[in-house]
Amino acid sequence: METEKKPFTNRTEILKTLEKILVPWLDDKTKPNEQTNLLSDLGLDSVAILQLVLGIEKEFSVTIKDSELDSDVFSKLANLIDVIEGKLK
Amino acid sequence: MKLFDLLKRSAAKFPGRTAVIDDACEITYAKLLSNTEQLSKYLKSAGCRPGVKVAVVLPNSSVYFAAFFAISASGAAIVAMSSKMTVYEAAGFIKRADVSLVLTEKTFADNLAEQLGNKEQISIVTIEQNSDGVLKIGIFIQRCPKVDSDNSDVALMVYTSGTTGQSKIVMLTDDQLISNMFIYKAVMDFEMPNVVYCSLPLHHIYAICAQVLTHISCGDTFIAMNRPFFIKDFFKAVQNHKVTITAFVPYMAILMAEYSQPNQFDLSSLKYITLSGAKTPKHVYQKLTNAFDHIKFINTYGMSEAGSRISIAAPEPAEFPVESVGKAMPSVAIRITDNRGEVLPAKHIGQIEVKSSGVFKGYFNQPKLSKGMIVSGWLKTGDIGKLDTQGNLYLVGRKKEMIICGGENIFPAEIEETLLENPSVREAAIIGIPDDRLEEVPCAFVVPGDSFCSETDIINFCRKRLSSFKVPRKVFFIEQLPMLGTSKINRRKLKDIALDKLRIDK
Repeated sequence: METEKKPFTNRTEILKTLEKILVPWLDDKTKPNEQTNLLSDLGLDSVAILQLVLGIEKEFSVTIKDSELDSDVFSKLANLIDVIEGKLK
Repeated sequence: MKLFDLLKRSAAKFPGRTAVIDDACEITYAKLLSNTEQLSKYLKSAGCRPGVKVAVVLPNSSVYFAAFFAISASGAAIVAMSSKMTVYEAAGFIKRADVSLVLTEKTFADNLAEQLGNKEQISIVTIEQNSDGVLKIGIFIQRCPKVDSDNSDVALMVYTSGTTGQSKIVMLTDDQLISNMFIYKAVMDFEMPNVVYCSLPLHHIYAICAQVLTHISCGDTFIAMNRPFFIKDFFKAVQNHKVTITAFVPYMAILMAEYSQPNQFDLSSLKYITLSGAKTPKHVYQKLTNAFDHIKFINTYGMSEAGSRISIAAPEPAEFPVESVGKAMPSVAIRITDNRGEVLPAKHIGQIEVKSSGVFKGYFNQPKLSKGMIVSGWLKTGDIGKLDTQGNLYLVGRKKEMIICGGENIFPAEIEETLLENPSVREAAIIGIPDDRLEEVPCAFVVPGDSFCSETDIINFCRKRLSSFKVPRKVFFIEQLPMLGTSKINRRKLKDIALDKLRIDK
């Protein structure tokens, strides 16, 4: 029987996986949370964004179109989780 | 005439016109001029004058514009640096360029001061601006500036690769930059006024010449973007601010060509997109011209040592072959030479050489190398190309080891030096491997030392020290680096090995 996961659990799992993908951009002290701004807090540039998106597509087996991405998506980790969550539904 | 005079003239002509819009504020030409003069007054009082080097480490913003022109107004040389550099990279560059004063943000100043240490005679000054455009100058560390009297005519210093893998600092004078800019402006034959979308980092020579100097002299409005490039952000800005022109490097053009629903935005104001940094692929160019037939997509070619623009497919790009980067700009001569320096006829491939009033003064602290770059007035670009019988220029490749990743130049030597600081690395070599979007990405070959390290260890080691685009995408461990003769790494062989391994991994 398939167990339905609670949305909160799903977001937590997505965040955990994102943490792993984000390791190269994190310093020893930073623990990302849903409020983390990937652009100003982690300083991701255009190349880093492309690498991050590739990492997300691989880890979550999803495809993200450029039309779904803008700076708002990366201004809060919660927004990026929304995009991934939408893809996994 | 100084670079500052371009701003001064436009501010006198169009005082009430919006000069810069950024995330924090919107300022007019009159306000930009007064901020520039306020900062330049401080710089002069701190001893900045011709021969002093002042670095600007700021993101794209109205503050950047004030800092850039204030340094020029003080007579000092502007040392254009990336605001995305790590403090480790920035400190190294500041020392190499013999910078006396750094203009930066508060957040960066602390870390930079720590990295530079107490021994260095370098001042750090922070500048910030509130939402009303009022400039606040903070003196973090103030020391007496050094004057380099041999280079008192230098207006701008930028990073470049030259023809070998080592990075160098190009010195350009006001006359070289201004003459090149006026020629570019005349060829473009702009409909005015323009709204300029500035997404390329403003330390790039392409952005400085084709955007900052050109459009400040026209009295145009800049939308200064301090964030990574997203094509959707660009479309939104075109719609909201009625953007008329921007400058792209190939990966931006690819994102625009691939965008699935551009029609949901009103892009009717957009008239020109200049394409440079590397050659935009033909199929991408054709896709763009088909999908956006009201926009002129203008291929152009330039390099820092040429003060920047060399050739251009303007004012009517449709009149030039799609594969070309246009014709030499007026007052610029292009020729193609073979390995012995003999001039080749049309359609023959060889090194591109350039002669113009914009050709640089030389590399900082490398007089011998500078002399070798210019022979009988001809600048050896290190790029490989050909001319057709009509004088259109075609780029074929690069003689240099430089890697271009998403419009950013990468010098293998810099990454290799960083890798060698890791005790687990005995030898290292960096090569570029093809990437669909970024053109190339760096890939490392490492000969391990006595202690163990993994690919992730190496990547994380680099992450802490280098900007994102320089961090190797892939690390291969190898017993011995293939060599050409006794001292030169056989990079061609390494590239073949990397491509083979990547094919197998797929």
